[in-house]
Amino acid sequence: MTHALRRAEAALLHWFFAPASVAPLAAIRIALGAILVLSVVQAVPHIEWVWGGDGLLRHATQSYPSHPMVGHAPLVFGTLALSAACFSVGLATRVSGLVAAGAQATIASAGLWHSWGWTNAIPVFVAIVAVSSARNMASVDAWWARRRGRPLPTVTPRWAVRVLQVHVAVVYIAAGWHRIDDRGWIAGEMVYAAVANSMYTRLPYIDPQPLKPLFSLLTWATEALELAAPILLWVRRTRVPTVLALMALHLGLELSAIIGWWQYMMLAMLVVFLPSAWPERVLAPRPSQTLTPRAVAG
Amino acid sequence: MPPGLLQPKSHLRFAGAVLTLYCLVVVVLGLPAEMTPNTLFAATSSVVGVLDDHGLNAWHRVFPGQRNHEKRRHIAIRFVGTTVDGQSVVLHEAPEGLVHPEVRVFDNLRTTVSYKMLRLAPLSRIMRTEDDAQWRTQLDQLRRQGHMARYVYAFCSSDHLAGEHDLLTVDMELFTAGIDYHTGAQYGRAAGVLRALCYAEQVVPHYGIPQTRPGWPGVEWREVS
Repeated sequence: MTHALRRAEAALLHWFFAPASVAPLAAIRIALGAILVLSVVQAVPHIEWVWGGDGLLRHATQSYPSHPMVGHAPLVFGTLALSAACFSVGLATRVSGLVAAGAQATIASAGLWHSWGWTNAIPVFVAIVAVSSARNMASVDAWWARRRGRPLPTVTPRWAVRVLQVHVAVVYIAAGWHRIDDRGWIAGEMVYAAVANSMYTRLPYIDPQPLKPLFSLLTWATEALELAAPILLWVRRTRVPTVLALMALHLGLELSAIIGWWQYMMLAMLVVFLPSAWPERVLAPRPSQTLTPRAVAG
Repeated sequence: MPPGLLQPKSHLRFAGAVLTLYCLVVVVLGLPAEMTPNTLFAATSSVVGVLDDHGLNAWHRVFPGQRNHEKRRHIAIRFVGTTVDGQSVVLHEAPEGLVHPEVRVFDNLRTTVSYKMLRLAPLSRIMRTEDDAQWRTQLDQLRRQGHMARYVYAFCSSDHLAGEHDLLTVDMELFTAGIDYHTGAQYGRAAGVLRALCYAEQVVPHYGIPQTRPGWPGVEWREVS
């Protein structure tokens, strides 16, 4: 192997395996687990009507009657709620995360009759977080290990962070670059179209006509941001402003439109691009940041 | 860079190769048609399709440009059953009461399922069609779709959906309203779509006119012949 190739391989291995804080992974673990639990809470009143043995999908679709969920829907949703709750608090994190990912994928494989794109994207993210070091901070597993005198490391190789970063960047490639020749986006009409569509909008009765100029600006800003994000997220100087702009975008979408839990999932996933000190401050405040008796005494 | 990485151990090199390959696959599968050669896109789409069937798809395209959709507003459906003793019962409305509240705080899964059952594309077309003849064509297409027939008949075959009623017929009614992007004029239409004859185990077109319509503000209702 030539020297150049060896250096390229070394750079790649450094990119994947340099040590990094587990705080972003722990924050994402808590958030994704909570999202899954809340999604089950939302589904509970409708489980029998939609997925039940005598429910709508059983009678109205061709594929669902042979799906493993028929007759077991409460079991699948119950398993998801329990495993996702354990995953969120970091109890048997790896097993509970993989079980939650499996249960969610099972529900998603029944067909996207009930939901939007987040449903079958989230199992992939949960599985990656589950097998990572996300359990090493702010978790029951970490607390238990400390009690046994074998604390889990809070700095580990950052491969999972890198893989999740690639996934997040690809989400914006898939979203933004798909629309580059779309007449609706070019003409600045798509935010209007979303707000004026009772399938999505949270505000079905606002009159969108006077707000057309604002909606045009929002359409172009959204498209520009999503086109540039896959590049700007990798540039050190532009990373944090881009993440904050994307978070504002997802918050704005959440306030105006209903598309399941997509926005919350992306808000959680974007943490992977933030400085690890930010989630660390929340999840594992350093001793110097806490008030000690001496500090209080001045 | 730590000097040890210039002479990495074999397990580290293997892990690095696996992760690189995985990331490469993620990127290639996520590339939209506009960025991918046709043959490659056809191959990646079929892989994503298989993954999708198994409930795994991290490459979902978010709101992928509903091309040429300029005028969209409201959509609602209602299923009305007639019992053997002649009683008329509303079995399902999406959204409930046929109108949304001023602000929707939570998604309603039954409403979402019903929208998805109608399928997004034909549904959107029927909303944005201002021309009466086109609207009727779209409505007829809805009537001919097999999954729509199964949808209506489900209220006959499921005791749960029928609310334990002994039903003779189930009527599906559709309400749509479009909005003109340039003028803001809103036009609504209401029509019967399909009728399930529960005892005959048949679904036939329903040409009746719904007895009540949603009170969507600003919508002018047009007659449908």
